[in-house]
Amino acid sequence: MRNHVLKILASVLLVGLAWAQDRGVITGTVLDEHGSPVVKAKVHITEKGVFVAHKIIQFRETDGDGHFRIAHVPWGTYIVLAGKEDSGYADPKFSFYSNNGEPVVVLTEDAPATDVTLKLGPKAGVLDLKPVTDELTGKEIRSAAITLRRADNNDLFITTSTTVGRILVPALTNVVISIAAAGYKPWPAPGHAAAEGRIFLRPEQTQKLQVILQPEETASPSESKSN
Amino acid sequence: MNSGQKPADTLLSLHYANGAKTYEMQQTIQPGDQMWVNLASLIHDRVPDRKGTVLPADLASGTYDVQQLNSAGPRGLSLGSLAVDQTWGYQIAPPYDTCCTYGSMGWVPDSIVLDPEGIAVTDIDATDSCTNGSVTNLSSDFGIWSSGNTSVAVVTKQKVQAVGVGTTTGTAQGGVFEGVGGYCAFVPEDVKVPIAVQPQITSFDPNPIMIGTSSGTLTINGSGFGSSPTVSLPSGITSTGLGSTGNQIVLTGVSVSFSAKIGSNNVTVTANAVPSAPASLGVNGPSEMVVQNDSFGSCSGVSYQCRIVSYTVKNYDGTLAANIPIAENISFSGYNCQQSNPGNESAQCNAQYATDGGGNFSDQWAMYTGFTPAGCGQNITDHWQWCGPTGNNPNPGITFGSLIGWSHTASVDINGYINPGNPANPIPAGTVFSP
Repeated sequence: MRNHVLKILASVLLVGLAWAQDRGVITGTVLDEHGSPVVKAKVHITEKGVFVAHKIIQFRETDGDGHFRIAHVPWGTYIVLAGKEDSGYADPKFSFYSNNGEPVVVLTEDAPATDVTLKLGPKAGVLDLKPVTDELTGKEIRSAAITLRRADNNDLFITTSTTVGRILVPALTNVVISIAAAGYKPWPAPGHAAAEGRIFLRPEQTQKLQVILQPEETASPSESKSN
Repeated sequence: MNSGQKPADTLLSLHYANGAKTYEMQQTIQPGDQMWVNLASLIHDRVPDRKGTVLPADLASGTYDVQQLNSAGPRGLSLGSLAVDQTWGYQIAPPYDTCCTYGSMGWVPDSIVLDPEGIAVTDIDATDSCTNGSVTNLSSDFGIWSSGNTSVAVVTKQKVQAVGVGTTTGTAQGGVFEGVGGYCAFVPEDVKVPIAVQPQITSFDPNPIMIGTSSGTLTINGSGFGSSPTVSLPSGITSTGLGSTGNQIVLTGVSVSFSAKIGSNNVTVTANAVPSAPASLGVNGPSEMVVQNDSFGSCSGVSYQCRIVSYTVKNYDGTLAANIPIAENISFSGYNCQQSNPGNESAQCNAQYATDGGGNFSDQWAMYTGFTPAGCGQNITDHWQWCGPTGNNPNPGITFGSLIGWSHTASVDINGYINPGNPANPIPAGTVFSP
């Protein structure tokens, strides 16, 4: 009986060692643009260059000192991403926000633990969207989608369902906006995007935008109001 | 009566209106038979005579004579007077302008269910021939109202008041005048209704009760429980003890297993063999996922584009399901492409994933360009689950949101929202997905 118990204990230890052997830990600190720790920032990692068809993004929050710890990470090369959207720091899970400038860490058997400092900022500008409405009925078009694209790099964009409320926009960056919905003419009309849909915001600057879309079968172009 | 050997052709003449009018009936009477005439039926049914004359509805008296038409000798003649019974067997009533007939007479409502403190106001209604069958209230024609068991309910004129839990019968006795034309008869009526006084549940404490509760207490407030009620609990909820004060039941040793249904569940209390109406007891737990944002773009750190949907998980009581362990039970089907499955990222209940402090989590789908031929892909059934407080019990978890769709070369369909598309059709913020 005693032997049996010892065998089980040995098995558990071996399993634990095997699990520990191919996994490491990433620790770090999130600071703002002034060097102060950011509390309750959301941190997550993504394996660099590896195709993953589908995954849950598991966030870790920083503590009162801006520290975070992500354990049980398989060996590999990771991008470490952090944001705190309610404070104006966009989550850089899309390269539209990160501009592919996030820190990279490598976990190996020889280097199973790594510590990284993430510096947020500058804070984003804010696009304050009023409901997108139908020109004829005045009703909100809930199916509308807005696309924000960096003017200097067409590959860096997001298309999002958030068409009401605040959308963070990279500050000090030329961004082109377009809004579309099934059954409506897009805004801005093709050929007008350079003038109508372009914004450049300073950190924390708010730009209000209200777009009225025109049904496809009618003639005159869609309209927008901004200030 | 025909006392002869041959049939006798007979003419009966009724004289009325002081002899000014005559109603004639011709009949052949067989030997040994006699002539029978039901004058009331002739009047009531408006039977025409051989000349088409109809007796008036208000005919009350007159004279008659009877002649044998085929007699060889002088025609026999009998004379007499008559009085018509207009009551058709019922107590006679004074003449009215109009008499009506009634149908479908009964209590309204036709079944009375009361809480222990309940009072019902009732009527006796019937359809009225004088108003093309519309419903008329005959309550005033009923003078006696009674209960079969006054310890269950007291019945007075047009009112039933509960006394104690049980069943009985209410009776209304009276009568109505029915008839034709201006002549009516008083018809006695005895109309009954079933009465049930049932226990009443007014509230639970706690409500909702948290799934996973063990050895807890559940208080049921109400009335009419008596001293030894029984409580019918929904599947997955058990108790080991019960005490009742009549107005409050305390269940002890209450356990709510993970097999219980999150959401509204029915509970009934039975006392004196009468069940209460079902009352809603909520079982609390993660019950839905609300879309916060659905975005598509180039993902950081990789070379492909992806769709990221952010959700907030809410409990049945509307609170945020913060920091709860979650899992994703996903399956693929209809996979008709040439290469292997690009990744079954199903996450079991292993305490690895959780919502954040706001109940949020994000789900990322890659635009898998490796599907060949282009356009092929896979169907997806995706169940998001809560893994219980410990992160691995129950395992598999309890589903709080289900998604059905597909993943193709350049698009992902989630419950009918295809993104990217032309134009994009992201899931609007606020959209709720539930099991």
